Amino acid sequence: MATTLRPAPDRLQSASKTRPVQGAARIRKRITNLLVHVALLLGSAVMILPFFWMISTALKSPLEAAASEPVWWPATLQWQNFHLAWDAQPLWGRFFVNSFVITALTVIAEVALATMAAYAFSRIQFWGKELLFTVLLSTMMIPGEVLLIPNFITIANLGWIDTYLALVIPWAVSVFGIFLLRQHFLQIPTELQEAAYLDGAGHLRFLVTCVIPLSRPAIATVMLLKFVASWNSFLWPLVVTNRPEMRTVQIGLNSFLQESGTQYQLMMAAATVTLIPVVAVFLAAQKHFLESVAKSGLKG
Amino acid sequence: MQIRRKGLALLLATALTVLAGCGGKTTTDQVTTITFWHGMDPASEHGKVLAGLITQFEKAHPTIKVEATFKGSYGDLEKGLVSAMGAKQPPTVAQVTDSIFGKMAGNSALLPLELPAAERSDFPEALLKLTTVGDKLYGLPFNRSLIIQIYNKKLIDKAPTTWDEFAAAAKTATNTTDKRYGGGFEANVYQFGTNFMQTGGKWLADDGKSVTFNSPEGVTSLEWMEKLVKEGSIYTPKDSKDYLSNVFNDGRVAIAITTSASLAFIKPKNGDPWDAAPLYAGPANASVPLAGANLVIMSGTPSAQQKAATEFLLWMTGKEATLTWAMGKTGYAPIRKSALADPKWQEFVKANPVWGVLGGNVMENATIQPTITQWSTIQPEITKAVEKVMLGKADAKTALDEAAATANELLKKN
Amino acid sequence: MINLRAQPRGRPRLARSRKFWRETAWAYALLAPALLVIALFHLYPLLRSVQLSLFDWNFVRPQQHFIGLQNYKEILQDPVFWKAVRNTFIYVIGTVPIEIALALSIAALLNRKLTGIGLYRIAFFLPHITTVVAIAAVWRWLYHEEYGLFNQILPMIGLDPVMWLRDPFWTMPTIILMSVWKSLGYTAMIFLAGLQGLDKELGNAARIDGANPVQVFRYVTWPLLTPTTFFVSITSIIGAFKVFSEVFVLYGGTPGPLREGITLVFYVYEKAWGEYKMGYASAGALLLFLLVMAISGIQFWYARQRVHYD
Repeated sequence: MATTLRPAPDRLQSASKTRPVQGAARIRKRITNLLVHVALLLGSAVMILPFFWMISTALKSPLEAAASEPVWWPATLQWQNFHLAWDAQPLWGRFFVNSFVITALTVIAEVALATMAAYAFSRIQFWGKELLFTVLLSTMMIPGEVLLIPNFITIANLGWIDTYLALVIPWAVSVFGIFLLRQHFLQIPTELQEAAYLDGAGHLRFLVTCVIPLSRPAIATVMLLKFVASWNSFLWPLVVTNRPEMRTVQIGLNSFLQESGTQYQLMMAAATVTLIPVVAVFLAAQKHFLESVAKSGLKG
Repeated sequence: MQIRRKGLALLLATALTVLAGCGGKTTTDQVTTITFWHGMDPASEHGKVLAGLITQFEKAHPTIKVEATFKGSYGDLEKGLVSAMGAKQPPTVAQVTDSIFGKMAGNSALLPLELPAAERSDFPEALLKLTTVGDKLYGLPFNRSLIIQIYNKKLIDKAPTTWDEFAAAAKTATNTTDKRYGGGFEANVYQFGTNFMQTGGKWLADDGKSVTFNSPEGVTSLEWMEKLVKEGSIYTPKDSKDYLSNVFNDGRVAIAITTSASLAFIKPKNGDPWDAAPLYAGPANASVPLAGANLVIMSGTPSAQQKAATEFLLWMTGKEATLTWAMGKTGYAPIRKSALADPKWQEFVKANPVWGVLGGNVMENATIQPTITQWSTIQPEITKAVEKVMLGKADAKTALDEAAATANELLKKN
Repeated sequence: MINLRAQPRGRPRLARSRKFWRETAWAYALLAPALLVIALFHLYPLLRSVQLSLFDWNFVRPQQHFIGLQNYKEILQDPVFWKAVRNTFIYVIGTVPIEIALALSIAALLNRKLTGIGLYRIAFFLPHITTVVAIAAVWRWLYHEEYGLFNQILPMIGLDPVMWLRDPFWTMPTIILMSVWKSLGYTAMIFLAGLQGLDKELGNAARIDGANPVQVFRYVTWPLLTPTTFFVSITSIIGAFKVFSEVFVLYGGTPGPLREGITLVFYVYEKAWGEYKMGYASAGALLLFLLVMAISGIQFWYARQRVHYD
């Protein structure tokens, strides 16, 4: 008796496709969709306001950008701001490389480490589980502001100043990620695990062939959130690096902050470009939210 | 065997890396290396000037190498500095604002400076007082900007020279139909300080054990601010990014009391002619508040680097350097008497009269707020008093007395 | 058949031993890398903070003096601390419930196969990723006394304009509003992942049985969503108690007019970076820690009965 470990397709959904939909139901569906569109449009408009301001400021002239009364759309689009922002900081290329490397490493580390840890907490009974989980959760409860100096001292003593190690390792895994994945992993039916065990699969195989595919949205979320957190981090990279070649894009964005007279138009041009990778990663990750994931492959 | 050898090698390598990474201050052969942490991004205008100066310094001093690191804004720089001190790996030299300077000096984190007499006398006396604690000098002024008046020449013929003239000019130039205010200043603790110093007031009692900003002079200073704002002739910025220079450019203010660092950004939208003038004088004196930062040497710097660091400080605050800042239209003023007397400066001012506001004997009237360590907790109390008065929630005397009471309690703590 | 669930009481310990310890070994093997990082960079600093809280130390002076619980005594007698506690509670109560409710609703809307749903999703996520400089600039404009949007709208409905950023009465509300706006998309994202992970079959079965969408949500979706809701509740509350950067950014590095926006972390921040009182600041952080611990503990206890995993 071969019990498949792969989740079965949603049988009910394919059944409904062959049934003819009533006319009234179809109109109701259209109206609902329209209402949803309207709600989402209004919500989106509110949400993207700063983003819109960012882009429009990126295209403003210096006077428009500094105007005390906000200018919503520039008189003429100053596309050269992007060029000027690029020229202002000779190390942009290096900054982008650093940011990409650090973020990629951090995301990969987080997915690997958090998945394994979450699996242990959710699918294995072991000694000290409750206590350990509590201890881990408690590390989320202390504000980061008091952790800066002890962590910096650790890094300095390890000799990791000005290295990728300092920028990646402390953030290689987060309790937040472990917690989130644990919640999802807990929802996987024990029948699946028992079936896998009967099939001769150990923990690793069950994790890789069953748990991970069933948790794609959750893992995609963890990856995405980690990507954003790493890409946007500023203070830590600033404090643990001295050499300009080791710095990141967020530090580069600071180039345009001065005592008085910030060049907002250049800064926003740079910020817009800095945002592109994040948006790209988001659009790629959110595709995983469209896959239907059925959990009940064993039923029927 | 193999593994153990590899492990030993790894251990040695790590140990060497750690040792090599310690401090960043080394002396090999004849070259001394010092590290310098500052708050001017190399990609910004000021950062470029700074980088140029450092290169010039290194050329003039072949035995000294400077490793300069941009450590973010002054606030971020402070965090990095304190963290580095916690890890016992501070830089040799740092650029610190007055408030940070006070905290560092008060906690014995700075090296006292010994200056040759010739250098010492080249600084305006009042300026050196700002970086002196007790009777020791702990830093040198570096990039100092000052408060000036920027005014629209179409609306104001003569820059005010007294409080009354300013009040009168502001009233005349206010035009509600055009939504224009005659004057503009920040209704905060700094403007209060500006006024207070000009009434001859003192922040602290001579024995340093109590505050005296609630003296009659203090009340006068705050009431004057309140009166002007209530008369409706003053624009006050509504948030931290509402720069007076922008408001002036938009033509909504006729005289702006603001920092000389904004001079380079003045460009009235409608092309009106404008000029800069020294700050008006007060009832008792013509004191002028300074902003900007100083250069300091961190205590704990080994003696091998101390000499090099001192030379670096003296050169970077020397005549050539300060002229580069001032003539580079950064808004930072010349801080050396020799610089002000230099023909290059005279010519520059002739060709660019607006920038002359940085010269004269303004540095002799320079003031800053106290540099005692408790000031970082006392200043917010004064801010509260000013806010209360501006919001109409209290009168000046009550508010200042309240703040003074709290401040005296805070003074008791170390 | 090997029972992987928790063992019922009464089983002899011997039957538990070998498999249990083997499982334990597996668990720690999987946990090891994560534990190493967390121990070094999250746990160790926490313990160091505990140690520091018993000392009178600023990192600037080399000496430290052991002063026992004096930091704690001083803090608990500081009226500013209690103001910060009050403000933080106001913030938590003001943001978390409404944020969860709104985020869940948005996630439900975003959990559909609509054309352009990807674009809507990213629109809601944008506040989380847009640079904080842009966000602060826009909100400062919204709240501006003269030409801000809110003060333009108020007269239209017959109300006076408000000094949003200068009137201490409005300080906490302004912070709450901006925070809710900022975290909505982020929280909705987590709910979305939760919704996506649900078994569609159950929902479909209920619909076929004649249940309307509200009933489906109440009796099918919501119970199944409790693991995610629990997670959001815990992490949102923990995050809310640590509120700081929203205040810092909106009010230009100050805790608002008349310092009305002082929160617990702002209090700690000022002690640490403004006064260099690291020991005192650590004590403050630990008091916050204990508070959050207690509240999370209550949540966990409450959840034991309410959260359904399978």
